Amino acid sequence: MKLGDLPLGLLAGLFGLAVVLEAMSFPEMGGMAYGPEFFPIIVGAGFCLCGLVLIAGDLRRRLTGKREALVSVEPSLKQGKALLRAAAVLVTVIAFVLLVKPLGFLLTLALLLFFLLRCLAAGWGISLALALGLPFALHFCFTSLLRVPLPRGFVETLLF
Amino acid sequence: MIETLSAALASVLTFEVLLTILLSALYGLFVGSIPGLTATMSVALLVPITFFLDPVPAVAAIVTTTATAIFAGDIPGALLRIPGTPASAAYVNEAFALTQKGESEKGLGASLVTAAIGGVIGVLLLTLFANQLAGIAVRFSSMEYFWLGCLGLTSAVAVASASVLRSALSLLIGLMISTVGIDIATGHPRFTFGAIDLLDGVSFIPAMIGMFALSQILRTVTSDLQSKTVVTKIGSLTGYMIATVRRFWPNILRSSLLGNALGALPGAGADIAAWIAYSLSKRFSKTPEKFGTGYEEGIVDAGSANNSAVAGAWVPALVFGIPGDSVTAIGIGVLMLKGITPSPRVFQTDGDLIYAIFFAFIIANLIMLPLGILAIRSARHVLSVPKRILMPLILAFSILGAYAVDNTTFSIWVMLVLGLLAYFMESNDIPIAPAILGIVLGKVIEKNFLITMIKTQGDLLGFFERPIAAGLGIATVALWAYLCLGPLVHWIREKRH
Repeated sequence: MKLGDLPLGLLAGLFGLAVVLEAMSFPEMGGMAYGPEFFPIIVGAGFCLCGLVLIAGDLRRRLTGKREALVSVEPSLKQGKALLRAAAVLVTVIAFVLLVKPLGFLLTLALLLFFLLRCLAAGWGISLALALGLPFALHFCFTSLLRVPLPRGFVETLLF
Repeated sequence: MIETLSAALASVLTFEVLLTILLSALYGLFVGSIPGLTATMSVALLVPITFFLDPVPAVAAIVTTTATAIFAGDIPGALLRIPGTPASAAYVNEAFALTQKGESEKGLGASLVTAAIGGVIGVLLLTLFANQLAGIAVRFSSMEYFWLGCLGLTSAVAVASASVLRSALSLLIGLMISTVGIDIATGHPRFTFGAIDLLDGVSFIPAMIGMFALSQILRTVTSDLQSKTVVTKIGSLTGYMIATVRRFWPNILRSSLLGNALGALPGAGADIAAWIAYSLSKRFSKTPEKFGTGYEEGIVDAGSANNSAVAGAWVPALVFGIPGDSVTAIGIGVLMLKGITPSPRVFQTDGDLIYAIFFAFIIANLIMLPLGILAIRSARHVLSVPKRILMPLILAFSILGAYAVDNTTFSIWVMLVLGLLAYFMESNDIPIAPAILGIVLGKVIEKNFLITMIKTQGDLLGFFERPIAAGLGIATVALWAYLCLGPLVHWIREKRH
């Protein structure tokens, strides 16, 4: 999604303002002119300044008659299928976070890999093979070689 | 000195390190040669693994992956006219023109041999400069570091390919992320929204994986997944490689020097080094009319410059802790995790380790020659791996990588949020690289600012009291003035006409 300079400038300006306001509430450092609020205020002010320049540039162009869309969407995103594929990627990430503790690493990754591969229209055979093989390979690499404990579920308890 | 060097060499010539270099080289060549997967992304995905290695193999893995991925980006560039990494984009037309003439081996041979030589020259210069620079930098205090940080950020904005305004916006996003967490002066939590996991700040590696890998996965799955790749046959390479060195050795030397210097500038890195070397090559060439029609000279110059820049980026990284580009920023993160803090004294405190890194760099560039030939020969198979299978695999690595660093699912949220942010930024022509430098340098600048303020009791003029600090400060302010006033002067002139 591409924002025009006007909405992008507004977004930056408002964000900067919010940062400055939040930073003003930080406690001051005793006897010092510069404390925890100083740096965030500068950054927030920077956002406001950038926002203003963006808005000014957009308005100037509007006055000379050049109009630009407030919001434009990439052509690739207008296809429902492309959007669904992106959603599938995000669902995979979120589902991993939510499921990995109750189900354990192996089962979660196997299910989600299979789901995502099928969503991207990979063949049934290769999807099944990768979903069954890759979690075990990664599990071996991380727990045995690199010694990172991965969340355990009933599959892990059953096998190891 | 000799003792340090031999100790360093001994620590590199072990089975573990050599095997790591070999595997990282194969990995770098594979990832680099797949269009859309950048060298930075391949390194970001590698970090969780280096986490659990000893310092020497960990850093060896990072430098090897970078060097080989930057070269491998040339392979799809030459064969398909799709640069594998942004660093290859400068001469992709040139290399593809050679392929169209049926001489793909000329372009690929030239880029392989110049990549290896440029890389080795880059390391030699790195050894030389870093040591010299360290000699001067020992006298630096918080004021100088403050200005160096500012200068780094400013040049990141100045050299970025996007507009100054959008690069500045990216920089601010990075600085904003760096302020999250407990404040160093008073211990007050800033912008944590009550999340305990954010008290330490935004975890760097999940952030990098999100910004480079997740955003790329999203971009790939929303674009064409069906396109088929057809690769032409490639002839003998070694003959062309020797001929290239004989004919163009002055170009290789010149561009390696140039690339190294550009690489050392924060924010510049291999991509920009390649563009500048290519345009200079055309300007100084005896036959500039041949450029663009499939002529090796530009490939030779840009190819040696981008690999030499990889080493150059480590000069300010090791001495000041200020990375030359995003990849080196990750490298510094790994060094610090291993207990090595970049500083001017790093040559005294961790000399053997630093020289071991240099040796690893050289070995990486040397084994790139045989492995590179192998990679070019197998390009046909690598390029035919369908994206719809590759992307889920990369996502699995990303999730696991983000998780493994801190062993918490919170890191996966960080990856997700910053991945979406990076996707939004790129859709709006806001470059990612300045944000990465902002994340790394924000804390450096704030810390040195506060230390200086405590030293001078709040007197801002203290930043100009010491001669080197004053020089750096004036340079920074002049650069700011140039960046802000340049467009204004241009606008006024336009109005007058």
